[in-house]
Amino acid sequence: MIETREGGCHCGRVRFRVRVDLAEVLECNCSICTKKGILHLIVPPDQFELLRGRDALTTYQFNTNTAKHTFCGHCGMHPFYVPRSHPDHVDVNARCLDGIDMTALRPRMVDGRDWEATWGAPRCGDELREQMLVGGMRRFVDDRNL
Amino acid sequence: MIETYEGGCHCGRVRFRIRADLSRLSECNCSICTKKGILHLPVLPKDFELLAGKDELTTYQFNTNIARHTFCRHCGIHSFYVPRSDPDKISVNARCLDAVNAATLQPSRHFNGRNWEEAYAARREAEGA
Repeated sequence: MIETREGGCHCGRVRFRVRVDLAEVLECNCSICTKKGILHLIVPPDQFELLRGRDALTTYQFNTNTAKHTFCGHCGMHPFYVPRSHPDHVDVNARCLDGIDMTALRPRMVDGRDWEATWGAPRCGDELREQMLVGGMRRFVDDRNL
Repeated sequence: MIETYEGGCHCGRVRFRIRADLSRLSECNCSICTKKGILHLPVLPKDFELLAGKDELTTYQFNTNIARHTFCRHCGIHSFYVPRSDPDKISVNARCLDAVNAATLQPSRHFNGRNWEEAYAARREAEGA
């Protein structure tokens, strides 16, 4: 069920509003997601509004430099970022939604350690890429009987 | 069982070595632990060695200003901090241990940090303090 939620970092400098379906939450085991502990809610940009804090954000990049790992430079929270798998989307950290009940979330696991197998081929046309991403995810789910 | 582990932030600037017991892992539901997603591994200062990155850390404080929430200013990863509940210890984020598989980390203790004073009093009582 898609709902409107607000959220942000801890110190309050970064705030956002998002239209999101909490049933779509993902957890990834890649190197940075493990350390961030992030729970992913990937939304198109028209469902995300940054209410404040653009200037408070620091961006960290590595490897392919596709993802933009944004965090609040004051409190260090990672409320959202631009993911490598969907660089035209925004990936909101469910942990940073106001009043979130962590015990109610049922994240689906994504094998980010084997990134290519999970997310499909390198970047190409958007439509084809979306199909490949969906295919990659389906293969991942089928392979593991999830 | 106490073992020696190394770990750090993501960009590699902050590195530490600890002696810790993974069976003492705990999780907290307070406002900042929820956002950080931290899995707490408390260690004594003598069991913690900062190998690199002292000057790369930013410290965030709020409320009582007892806890010192340190994170790498380059990659934003919170690999350890000084907790409010045990300001004489260091709480290492088990997510930041080298080659750790988070799926295998099972917290044995849950701290109800949303009601911090009550949870702290209950823990002290259980410890016979």
